[in-house]
Amino acid sequence: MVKHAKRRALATVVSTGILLSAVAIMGSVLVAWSNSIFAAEQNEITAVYSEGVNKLNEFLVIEHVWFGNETSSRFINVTLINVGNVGLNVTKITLDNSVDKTDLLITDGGMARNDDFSTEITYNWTTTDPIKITITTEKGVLYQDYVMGP
Amino acid sequence: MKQRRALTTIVGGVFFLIVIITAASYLTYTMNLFENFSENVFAVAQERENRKKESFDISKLTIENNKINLDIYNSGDIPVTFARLWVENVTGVDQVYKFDLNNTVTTGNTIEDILKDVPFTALETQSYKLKLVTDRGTTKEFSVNASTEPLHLQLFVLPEEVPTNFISTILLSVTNNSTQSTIYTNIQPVLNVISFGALAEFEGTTPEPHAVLEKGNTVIFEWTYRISGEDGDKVRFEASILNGVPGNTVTKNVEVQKIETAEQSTTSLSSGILTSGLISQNVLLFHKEAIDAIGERQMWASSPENDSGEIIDFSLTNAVFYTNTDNNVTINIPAGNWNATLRYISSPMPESLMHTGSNSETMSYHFESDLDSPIDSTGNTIMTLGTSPNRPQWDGTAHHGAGAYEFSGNQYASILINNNNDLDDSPATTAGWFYAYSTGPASNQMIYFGDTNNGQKSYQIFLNQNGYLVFQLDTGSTIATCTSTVNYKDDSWHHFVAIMPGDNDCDLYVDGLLRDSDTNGGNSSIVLQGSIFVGASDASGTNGFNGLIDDLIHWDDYGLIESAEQEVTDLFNTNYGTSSHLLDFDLRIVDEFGTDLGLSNKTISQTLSFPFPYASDFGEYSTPVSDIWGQFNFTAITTEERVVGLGERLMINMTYAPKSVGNLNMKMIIDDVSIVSGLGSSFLQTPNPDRAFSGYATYDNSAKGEISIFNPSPRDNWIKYQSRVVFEDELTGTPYASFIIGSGSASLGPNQDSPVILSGTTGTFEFEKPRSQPGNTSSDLIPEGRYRMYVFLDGYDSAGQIFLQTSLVGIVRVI
Repeated sequence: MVKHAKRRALATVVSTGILLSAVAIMGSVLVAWSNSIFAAEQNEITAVYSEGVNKLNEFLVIEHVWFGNETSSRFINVTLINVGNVGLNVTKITLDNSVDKTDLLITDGGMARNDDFSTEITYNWTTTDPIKITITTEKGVLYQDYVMGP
Repeated sequence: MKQRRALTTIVGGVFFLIVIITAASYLTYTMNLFENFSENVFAVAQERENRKKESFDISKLTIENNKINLDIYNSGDIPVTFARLWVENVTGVDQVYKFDLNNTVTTGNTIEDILKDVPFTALETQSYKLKLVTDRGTTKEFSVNASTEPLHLQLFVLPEEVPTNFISTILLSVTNNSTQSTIYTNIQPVLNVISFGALAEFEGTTPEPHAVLEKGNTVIFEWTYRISGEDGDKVRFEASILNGVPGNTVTKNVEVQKIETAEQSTTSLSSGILTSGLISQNVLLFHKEAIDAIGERQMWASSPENDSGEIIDFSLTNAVFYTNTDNNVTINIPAGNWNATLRYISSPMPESLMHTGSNSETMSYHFESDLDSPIDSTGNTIMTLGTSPNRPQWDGTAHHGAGAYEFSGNQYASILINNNNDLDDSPATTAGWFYAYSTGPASNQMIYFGDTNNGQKSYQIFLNQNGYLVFQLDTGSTIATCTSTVNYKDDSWHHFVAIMPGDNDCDLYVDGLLRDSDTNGGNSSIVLQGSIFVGASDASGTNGFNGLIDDLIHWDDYGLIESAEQEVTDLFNTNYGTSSHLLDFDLRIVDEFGTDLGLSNKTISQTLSFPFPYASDFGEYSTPVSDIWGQFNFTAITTEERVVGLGERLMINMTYAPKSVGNLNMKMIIDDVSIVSGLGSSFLQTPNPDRAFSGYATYDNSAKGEISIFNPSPRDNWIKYQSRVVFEDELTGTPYASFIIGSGSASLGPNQDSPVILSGTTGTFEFEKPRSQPGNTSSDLIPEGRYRMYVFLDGYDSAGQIFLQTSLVGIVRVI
């Protein structure tokens, strides 16, 4: 009987160990899984939130456009001002008068809040065709205005 | 077993708790993000709302002591901070300045002289475009001392007809109809006074410049002038805006009108009136009526009757006019000048080139007067001369005795491109005259230049370094070049015709001769864009021409045909100057049947091929209106008296003398009351005769008389009782008169005005038998004889304004 009682005690320890181990493993897997899921969701939400808030706070104004008529070629000078609450990055300026379309890729268009940005674009403007100016920022926001040569 | 289960439960519970806490943390984080996002949305919405509330108006803008004095009123609901000012000198397109500002104005307040510390020198003689930018990005653009686009101008003169020494008020209405939302400031009106016989003396005060003209608003400037002169004299008022867009002008005439009688002569005649003023007895107007004029047309001293008149096309008929015959009267005409004043228009093209539809010319500049925006008589395109020092100089007698523009190396004119001059595809033709100085540079000198936006394709006519004329079509892939190997830098006029028979082909004619051709074939067309430049290849005067240019004509869809039609030769021989047309004048006294009496003392003039200058050709492009008619005089001089004997007539016969080449047709307008410019409708003026020429009106004193009254005014008119006809004996001056008593069944009396005479219509009225005392049937009836007949009209118009008018009908025979 004693011998039998010793076997039962050993079995209990072993089974307890196995049970605890199993619970611990399952618990760890559950925790790890839930952490990874929540962390991934959190990152995604943070990214979406940042994108949305930045876009929301981004506000660019085409402050002034003037027309140059130098000997060599005609050009258009475009001045932008960032009146939003966040910095932004202008990546492209497009001029289109339905006859001539010019895309100018901007590499130095970073603008802190209240900064302005000015650039001169060679463009054979006319006094009769309205020109559509489209500004594209890094976040994909578009700003448009129409101007007419003098 | 129970213990193991409890332990496992605890361990599992711990893990579950961890998971729950993680989930709660995530949820809390997410909630915080949403809260943050909402706050951002709210903040951005608030800022945008603030931008909408931001509003300001310019309350003053002047240039004083070389500084721009700008006051701004905050008309919004929020303080405004101005961050930046842009200044553009519109007299120099590249002169742009940017200044940083930091001025805040609170709601409902005005900030004065906001630019006092801005280091910018502004000149009162120059004009500027300014733009203010706030720190929220709101912008407002305005212009000082100038209008940068044509404004809607209207000129009113009240009244348009005045008795001499009376006042007329001139009102200039300026409306800001800017398409670019520009506000115009310091609007200064300019009023030029041009006398056509009448004198205008300024009275009162000069209108002050208007400070601010918002978009859609109108300002009215007022001047008062005292007008004096003889009956029919005029003064023209031409109004514009200082530093405005060239050609943005409006004009109106004021005419002096004689008032013979009536107590109302102390008031201005502001109504449109009936018929025209008095005619001198030696002014014989050409009338369209043929009655009693032996199959031709009447000529007598009587006003034109209606506003349609008649246009005589000299290519179809000659123009013959007769005075009436009178078996009882001899008319002695002293020696002196005989003037035939013709109102006419010229055909735009010689006969061979009078095409219609797409074969007709689409652009035509003859430079007959000096304008900042020379007139394209087709009305299809707009040319603008460069501004000084790039403005070409006009010479009024340079070419064929008429106007042309001189270019001195850096001057140009630009023509806006549209469907009428963009080439598009072949065929096309450009023609013109040039005069190149022998002292000109040994480099390319541009006469006519157009290109595409990217400059890849071009169409140009120029002198090269050798003085050779070159016509070149560059389609980007094919270049067609025609070169005339003659040095034209020879101080002489030359005519060119540059033809584009195919998209990649050229033919060049100079002085009527084919000088070169280049045929490449293909369909690579050129569509010009922007502006065509004349006298240079751009607005900087590059490749400037040294010499004169005239008569630029373009066909956008037609190539001139020389071989079969001799169109190039015809155009080369066409004179757009002082000898465009030739007319034969036969002016003589004939018998009652129009037969030549064959006597030298009955001949006034027999002139062949009298030259007439090129006149406006607008009438060929649109319905002729009164002011497009040119005017020119034929003058003959008699050194001895001429006598129109009993039963004889005075005759004038004008016959067109066509040229063999370059034959420009002309058309004359007669008998049109709406021709009010210049000397009025066409007529013959003789030396002052001792008696008036016989008219064509006859009155039988055994019955009531009848007269027709035409109403040329824009308003309906009525005449009142007391209106009458007066017959004045030609020799003794004894008057006889009678009241106008009605029209048809409608009578006219002390309590009954006439039926309405609608604007632009003629009413027929009856008058009683004229007597020495009108209305008194026991007084003397008018005897037979020759009388000057007048019509005195007392009436009012649909605006309630009165008119009193005495008009001469002419010499009337009472039988």
